[in-house]
Amino acid sequence: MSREGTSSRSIFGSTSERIRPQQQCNRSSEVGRRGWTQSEMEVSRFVWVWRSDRESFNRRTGKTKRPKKSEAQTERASAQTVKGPPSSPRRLHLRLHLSSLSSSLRADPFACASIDRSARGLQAFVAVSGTNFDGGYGSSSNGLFWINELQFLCFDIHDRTSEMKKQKESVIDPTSGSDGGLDLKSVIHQHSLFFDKLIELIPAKFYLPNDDKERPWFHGLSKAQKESAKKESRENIKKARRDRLDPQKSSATTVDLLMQSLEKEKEDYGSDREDAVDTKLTVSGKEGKERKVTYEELQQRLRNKIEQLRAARITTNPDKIKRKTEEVEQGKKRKRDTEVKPSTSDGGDRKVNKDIEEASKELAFSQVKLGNKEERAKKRKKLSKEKELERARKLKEVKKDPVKGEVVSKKHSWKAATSRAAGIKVHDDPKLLKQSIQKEKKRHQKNAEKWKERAGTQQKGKAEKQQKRSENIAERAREKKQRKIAKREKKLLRPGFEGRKVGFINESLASA
Amino acid sequence: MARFQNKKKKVFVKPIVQKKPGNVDHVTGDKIPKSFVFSRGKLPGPLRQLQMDLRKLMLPFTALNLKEKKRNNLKDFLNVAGPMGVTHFLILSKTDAAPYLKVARTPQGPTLTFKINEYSLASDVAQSQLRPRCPKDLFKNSPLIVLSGFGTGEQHLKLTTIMFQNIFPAIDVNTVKLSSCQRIVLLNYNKETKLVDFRHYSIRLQPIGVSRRIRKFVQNHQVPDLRNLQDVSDFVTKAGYGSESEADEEAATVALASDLGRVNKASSKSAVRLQEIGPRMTLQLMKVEEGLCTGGVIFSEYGYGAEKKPDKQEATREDEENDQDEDEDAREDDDEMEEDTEDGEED
Repeated sequence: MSREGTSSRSIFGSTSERIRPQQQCNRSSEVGRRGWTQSEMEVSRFVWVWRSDRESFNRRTGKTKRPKKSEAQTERASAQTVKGPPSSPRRLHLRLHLSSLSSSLRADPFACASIDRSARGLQAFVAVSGTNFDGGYGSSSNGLFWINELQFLCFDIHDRTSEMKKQKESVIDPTSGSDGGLDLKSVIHQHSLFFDKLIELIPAKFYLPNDDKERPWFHGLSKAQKESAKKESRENIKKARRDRLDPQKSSATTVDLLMQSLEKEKEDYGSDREDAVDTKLTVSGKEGKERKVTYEELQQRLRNKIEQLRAARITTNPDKIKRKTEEVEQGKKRKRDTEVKPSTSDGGDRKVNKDIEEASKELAFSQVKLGNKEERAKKRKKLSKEKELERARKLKEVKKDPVKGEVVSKKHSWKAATSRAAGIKVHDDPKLLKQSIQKEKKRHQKNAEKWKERAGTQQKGKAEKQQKRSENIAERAREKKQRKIAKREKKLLRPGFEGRKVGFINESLASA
Repeated sequence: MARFQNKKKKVFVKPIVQKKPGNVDHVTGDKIPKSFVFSRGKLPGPLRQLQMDLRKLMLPFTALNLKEKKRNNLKDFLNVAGPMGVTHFLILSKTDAAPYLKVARTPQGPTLTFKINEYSLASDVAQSQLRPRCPKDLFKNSPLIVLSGFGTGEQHLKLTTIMFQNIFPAIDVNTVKLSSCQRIVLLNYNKETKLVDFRHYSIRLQPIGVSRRIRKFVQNHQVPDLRNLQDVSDFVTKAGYGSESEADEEAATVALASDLGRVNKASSKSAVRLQEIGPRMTLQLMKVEEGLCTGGVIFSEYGYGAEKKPDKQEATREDEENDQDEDEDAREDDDEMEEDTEDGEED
């Protein structure tokens, strides 16, 4: 196994080898039972060899140097030793860790966690075994630490025969001298390359932070909008796929996209701080302009409408109306323009009130009853009809008068019409008054007659009743007497009785 | 002794109901003016519709289903009007020239004769509107009346104002309720053309300062459609343009004296919105007579008898009256030339 420059090679060979299986088979010369890569096998072999060597070394007394074996021999030996059964649980642990590491690396690109676990396990193992590793590595991540260790272990594989101690020393004291410094840089570089490769394993859409805006949101849109959005997304997907598989187009790997996004963020962050105020202002400026435009439009519309209405309406005083409209418009204009200043809007209100006052001077409303009932209850004096007749006749006379006749008549007719319209009864027609007087008279007469009649009938009735009463009383008295007589007579109607003593027979004859 | 046999017959005692005279308002104690709307002569279809519209306008103090027969005279109406307490007659008639509307006060009040130059029926007005409005108790209360342009001091205009003011019952400021003022009749006099515009509106009060959506939601209690919104705050604060009519009526806002309905509160300002219902007429005052379609003419549009007789058609049916009318008119016109109007009345 030739020793290659460590700077150009990462620990596990190129991770790309591992990921793309088709290449894996070509490169690894000795594909083991599980298809391990060369580097994996190297590591595992080394560990076993180291262990076994150490043991053998410990077994052998004093012998530090070993005869240089050929690589093939060593490999064979290690291969043999690999098959050997694990004699201690610690070795098993290590092997397991390594195997888990390799399998995980093969299985999924995100091997950091497993690396961590394995590294920790190795660390523990190493600590337990008593090997004095410097705690200086503890500051770096577990993965790095483990990686470092494995790297050195790999070095040992190559330099085992010649420089065992030296390696040990270097392991014990890696930070000493320029060697350590150079190694650190290269180490870091190696690490970065490793991580880059890991990142490239991840497809960009899962790794890069996705803005919410780019996400298609279909829920709040209408049917048509949804259709178009879906179509767009479908087109985008197709395009992206074509670009990805196009060999001529350079596909941006995840790392490149990540760098792009980082740059963008930097810019945004830097610019945000400076230009935040400016953007706000510009935005508000735009809005203000838009607002003004719409207000102007509204004003124009309002003016047009008012003109139309005024033209259509029949006006009593066009000048007045024009003035009114202007004032009202001005008031409204002022209101609209100066929403912030309330003082001018008061002016507009005052104007409006003025207009209302002016207008109300010409307005008449329905009848309104004000005041209390007692105040309203005063009645007019009702003149008797004769008196009214007198008045009416007088009026008539006056009307006929040639001098002031028509004036009086007109005045009177208007007055009468107005009061009649208001509900007040006006008696100015002597004819009707006469009629009504007549009617009243007749009514009165009729009533008088009726009364008389009633009185007469009452009297009659009274008399009749009295008569009947007295008759009845007399009748009763007579009846009573007769009854008594009858009773007396009855006594003498006994059988065999010839009758009352009437007298001598010839007495009556004699008298007659 | 049977305990449960209460064979005592309970005599039905009729409760003594004191019948109030029909025309007295039980609130104010004053007389309520009532009206009859009828026609003299045969009217064509649209005018009959107009008659119905006028009847609806005069509700509730009119006879909505007044049935008139051919042989009914004015006298018959007068005779019926007395006991029922009807104070006004609105008489429609049609001649070749134009339809006429007479507004008269019974029993011997003045008669104003208007010529109807143009008219629109209530159904036409409703059809012309996007959202015609007729709440169910719109005609439960009598309308308010506003007369504009009549204040020029001329006597016939004064008479017209008084006449119309007394057709509708008066408002008692102490006891009136805001909810009862739902309609308004508007009469506008144009000095140049001497035409009177007759309009009939329904009054609606709406609170201002509240967006349309929230106002409708509170009024109707209907769950709004929030489909296209992302948040309830969008519904509440959406700045929509107000309706065009809102801009016109910044002057028509009032602070109510009391709450009206669910939405209008006394503390906040409300806007008064008028929506036209009912017939629209353009009237021209032709003649003012002293009596009920009789009597001396105290005002005439064209002066000395140059005007057409409006009652030509009824001459055949109502001979006496019309002859009298015409004679009197003729005489009146003659008399007017001599400036004495009272002769025709006498005897």
